[in-house]
Amino acid sequence: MKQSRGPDSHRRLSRREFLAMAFTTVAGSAVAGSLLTSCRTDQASTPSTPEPSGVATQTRVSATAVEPTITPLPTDVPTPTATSTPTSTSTPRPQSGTGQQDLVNQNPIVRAPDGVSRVVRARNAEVWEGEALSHEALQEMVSRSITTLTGIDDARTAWAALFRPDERIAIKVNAFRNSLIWTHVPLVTVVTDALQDAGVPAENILIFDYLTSELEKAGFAVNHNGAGIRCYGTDNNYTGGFEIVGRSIELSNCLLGCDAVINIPVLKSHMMAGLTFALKNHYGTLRTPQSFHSGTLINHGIGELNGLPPIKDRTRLIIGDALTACLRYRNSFPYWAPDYTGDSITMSFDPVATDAVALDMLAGMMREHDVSTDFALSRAAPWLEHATEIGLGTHRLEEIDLQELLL
Amino acid sequence: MSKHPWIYLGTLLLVALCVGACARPTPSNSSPPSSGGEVDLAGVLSAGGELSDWSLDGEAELYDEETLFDLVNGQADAFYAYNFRRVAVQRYQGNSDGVLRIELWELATPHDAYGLFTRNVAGTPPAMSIGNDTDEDPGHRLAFWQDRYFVEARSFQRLPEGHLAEIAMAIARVLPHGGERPALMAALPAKDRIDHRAVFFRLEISVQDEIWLGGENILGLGPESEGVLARYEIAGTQAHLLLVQYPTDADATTALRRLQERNTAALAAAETRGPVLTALFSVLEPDAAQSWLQSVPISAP
Repeated sequence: MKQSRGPDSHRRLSRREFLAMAFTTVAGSAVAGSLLTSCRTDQASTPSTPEPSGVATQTRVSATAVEPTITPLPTDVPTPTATSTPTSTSTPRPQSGTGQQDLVNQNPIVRAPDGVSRVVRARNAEVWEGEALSHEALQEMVSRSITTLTGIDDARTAWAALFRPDERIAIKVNAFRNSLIWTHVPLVTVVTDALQDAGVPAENILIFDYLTSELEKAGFAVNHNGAGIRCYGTDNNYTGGFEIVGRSIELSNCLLGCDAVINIPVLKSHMMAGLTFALKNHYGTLRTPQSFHSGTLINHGIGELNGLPPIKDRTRLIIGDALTACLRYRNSFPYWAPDYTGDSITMSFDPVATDAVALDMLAGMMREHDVSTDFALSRAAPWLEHATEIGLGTHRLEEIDLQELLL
Repeated sequence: MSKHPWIYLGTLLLVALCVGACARPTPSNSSPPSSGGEVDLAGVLSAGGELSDWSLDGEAELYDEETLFDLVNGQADAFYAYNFRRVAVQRYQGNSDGVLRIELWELATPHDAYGLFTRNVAGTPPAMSIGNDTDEDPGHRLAFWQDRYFVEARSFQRLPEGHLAEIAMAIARVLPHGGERPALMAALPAKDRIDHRAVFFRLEISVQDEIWLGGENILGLGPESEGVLARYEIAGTQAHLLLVQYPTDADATTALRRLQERNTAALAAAETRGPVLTALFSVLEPDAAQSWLQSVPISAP
């Protein structure tokens, strides 16, 4: 059906109407073009306010309060433990030097009853043999550290006191992929050797971080289910039901599937945290670390994450890798690189004390290399204080029993 | 006219199109794509793979504002501070076993690209010039900026002379051309300046590792302000000179007051010159710092 036209539909344009229309159209085009140009220029000269990184959608999963049971081998499906708010109540733990032989299953992330946390720093000027780390030197550093920390004279006995052969032990390393500084494989090897020497089957030991691919790039031998020590990343295997700083989070099934954790971070400066070492290393245990990198989210997030029972209750030992350090983070690849050759490892039950000592060490290294320490000290202070407030340990140097071993 | 109205309408349309086209921005170079358009970052990086000595090693990785963390972890804010848009990462395999990694960063404006470039300057100006400015660690690293793009090539082994430059030039040829340094850079006095490195910034976080101002934006930096931080040696003492240009004189005065109220120990002297805040951070005595500040010509761009 044709639509009928109105009476003016066939009306011809007069010359005046044509000129008027032409002027309007041409002028309009010019104005529009100018506006477009103006808009482009504005975009070029006036940047928009940078937006924060997107916060991943998180699904709250009902938490079930089930304590982990000990089974001989790692399971693929861990049971989440209930979300909880960390408290500052201390569980009594044996004091170092008592010679007590059974430390297993006593919560290590609390201060000793006398309010002192022990941190051992073992230094060996000959730990580096050119580009390689000396296995023997590392063995001595680890052995002397564990005996000094526990007060047990024999290293094997000390390891056996901390870890039972039927336990599944996860070792959290730092192997961030777009970096050239990682937890050193030879140090981790010395630790896994010590665990096996103490009776823990290799298959009960898992080395993990965020992704399998980054572990591989950092030099770890990936082994999902073959004989020997297991090594793989969380990849996409997380369990929800946890909350920090009012946000739902998911934790690595590598962590949730184990009975005990050994945290082995590497020493780095960090643009947002000032320092990344023991406590912040668990950002690699969380699916959405990007959501907790500013303001309260980082200042409380670091402590609250470490205060979650699956991390707090499982963490049995912290071994700090300061064999190299990154004093200056970079804004191009590699985002962290070793720019300081160190000679130390630390060992402690207290992650907050570990970080306080590490910050002091990092600041010393920075001063040595004429790097400003202000940002690192200032950015680290709030989250260290918060971690102390919620009872994860102490950051106050006067409450830390620092044992320095010069080997 | 009345017999052929379509002729008039056709003429009208043609004239309108011509005028509209004239009003568009003209690219600084006719052959490269316009900086306003969507550049195929992976396509640009593939230009390096067309050289005889290099071949692409896998596909380019692309990251945007949502996924940047996967590339840079907790340093994403460093790039948001320069109005990050996208980045592509491409690896290349050399015929002689060399491995090369190139990152191509797309920012919102040429000033942002320049800023990110200055954050990464190593300290020694190279002999060659690629893009608008170049920085080089010979055989290992070469970086340049062009239009709103920052490019950095890094090799894991020392490469023969010219290899990095060759691949960088191949990329520069297909990137949009253009972009000028911010005018504020010219305001930096030459007297007592230690090196050519000066960080152009929009947010405090970009210079926090050189001067710590508390992380609370006491300078009141925003989209309309731009800053630069450079190193000096005054009477044998190291110093940082900070210049921030604000939209108005009043903004600069407010920033000066807030900076002085913070009582930063490292602040030796500060004043405003029109809309520009100038501040000297050093252990120099305040009188000496103030005297130096007044002795150097710093003019608002």
